[in-house]
Amino acid sequence: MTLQFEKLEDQIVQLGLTLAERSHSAAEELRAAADLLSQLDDLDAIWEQIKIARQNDAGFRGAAPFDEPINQPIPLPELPPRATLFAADGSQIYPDVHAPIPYWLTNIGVFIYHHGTDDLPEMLSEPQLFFRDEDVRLSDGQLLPNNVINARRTVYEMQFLARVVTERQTSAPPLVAFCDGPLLHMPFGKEIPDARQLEADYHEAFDFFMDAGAALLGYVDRPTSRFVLYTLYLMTLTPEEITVANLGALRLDGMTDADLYKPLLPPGARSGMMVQQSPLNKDYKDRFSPAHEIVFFYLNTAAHGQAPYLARVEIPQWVARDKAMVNAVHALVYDQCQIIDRYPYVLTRADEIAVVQPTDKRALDERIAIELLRHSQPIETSQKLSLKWTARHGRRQHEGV
Amino acid sequence: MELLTDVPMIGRVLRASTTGFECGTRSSDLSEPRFGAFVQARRRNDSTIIIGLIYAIRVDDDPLVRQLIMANNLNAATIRDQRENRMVPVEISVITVGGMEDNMPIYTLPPRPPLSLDPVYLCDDEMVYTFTERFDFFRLVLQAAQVPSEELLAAALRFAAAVRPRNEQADYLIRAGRRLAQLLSADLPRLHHLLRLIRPT
Repeated sequence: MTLQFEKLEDQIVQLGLTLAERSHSAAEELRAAADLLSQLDDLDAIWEQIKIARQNDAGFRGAAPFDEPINQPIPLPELPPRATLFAADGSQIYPDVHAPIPYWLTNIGVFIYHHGTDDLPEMLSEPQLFFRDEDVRLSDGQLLPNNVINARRTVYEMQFLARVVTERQTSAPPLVAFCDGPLLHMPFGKEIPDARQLEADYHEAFDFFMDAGAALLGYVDRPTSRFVLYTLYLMTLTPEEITVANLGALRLDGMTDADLYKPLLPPGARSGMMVQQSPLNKDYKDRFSPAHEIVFFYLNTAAHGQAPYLARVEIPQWVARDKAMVNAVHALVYDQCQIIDRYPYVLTRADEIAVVQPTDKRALDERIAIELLRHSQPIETSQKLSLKWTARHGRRQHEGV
Repeated sequence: MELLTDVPMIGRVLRASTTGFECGTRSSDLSEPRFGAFVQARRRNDSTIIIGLIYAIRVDDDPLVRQLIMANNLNAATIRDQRENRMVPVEISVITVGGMEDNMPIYTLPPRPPLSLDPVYLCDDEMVYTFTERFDFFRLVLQAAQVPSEELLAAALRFAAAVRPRNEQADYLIRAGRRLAQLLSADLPRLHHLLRLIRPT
């Protein structure tokens, strides 16, 4: 049975009206926010407010300026003539309670691009299969939940990328390593059984990049972050008003930092660097190293003549402190975004190398089933899965020559 | 299956019927197959060699290739990456025109088509020479609805002439033209077009 659109018609019309109303009020708020940003020239004044927020334990989660103005576009620097770019991405097969045997898999892809030469780019991949009981089940016998596998895959991506960069640290400099998604994120929550070890492994990989003299970056496409908007709000409060209740009361109705910076950044320009104020980033800095604190900037990746399209680029502090490296990251990320449509080519290819297609999964399942049969192991398939598959994929058009 | 080593393999069978087959290959391996070339498919444990003519070579696109074209900012490294690293599939369509059994040509459709993944090779000069001694495969080409039959037959005849000694080539094409005149006597525009295509230079 397909979706009955006639039953949705009224709801879709209502959706359009609601969004139109919201967009009108958001545009006014955005203008006010842009005015406020244009007046924020005094970085010390921003830091003063942030210090008060810290003293008041107000739970401020906005952005602090790093060492550049946050209301001025920073133009595109000159592109380095040579560079070696590394990009990593990962995908996974989650354990399936309906599969003949429970297993999970990660596949990490790394793409190496020799910028400034005609050399053939390189592709590497590292698939790992986990099938032992201790790898597949929690202590209570339940299969590993997906977020545990996501956390481990995140660490494997960073470790594999660090290994490849270290092995090739004599390649043409600068070395720039791209990760898909933020560097500052917490897939290692309390529900992850080995969270502490995973965090340690993740940060150990950071050190390998630093030792290799490589720049590491996390690329966030179409960011929905509001760090600067929170900072603007903070600047409107008196010291007494900077409280958890007041900061938590801010409603932004879908407005994001990207909306704020789109009119400010011409193609190729970036915002000033900023530091996200969060317990996690503080943890990066205090528990691991000040060099691991994550700094970010917004970058307009659109070509001239295109509508603004923003990305958030995250870099560790050891990169942010080196202006030559920041310039290289800025120019190379933008250059990569011009090869295809406003997204780094190297990340597109890393994703393609890493992705496990449904056909790959079926082939792997078949290969595992054959191996089980070879060892006279029973294969019990799930009736639910089998029937779902039949219903979804039973109709197929025959093609002739 | 024993693979041939002295003739280039151009791909493996994707789909097949008794009237033709399609084989797949990678774009980086696209130097050998040409429109009108004679190819052979060999089934495992079967002494009959199926012979066909390449009538179409298709390079599939994909969303990434489209985006690269739209962005219009390609460089040599990206083009090499697309062509050499990415498995851009190429499909080669073949019309069956007969076969070889114990080194003797057969000018009928084979009893069975090749199977998926059977290797497809170019025919060597000797096989092309032997198979094209007679013109009985013309009908299968001329009657095929799905192929550009005049252009295909002309291209095939140029391949067939090229494997003969230089002093026999013109005579071979003239003999082929006479046979075509018999087959297409009721369709003079088509005959005229074909004769122009194979006229010896």
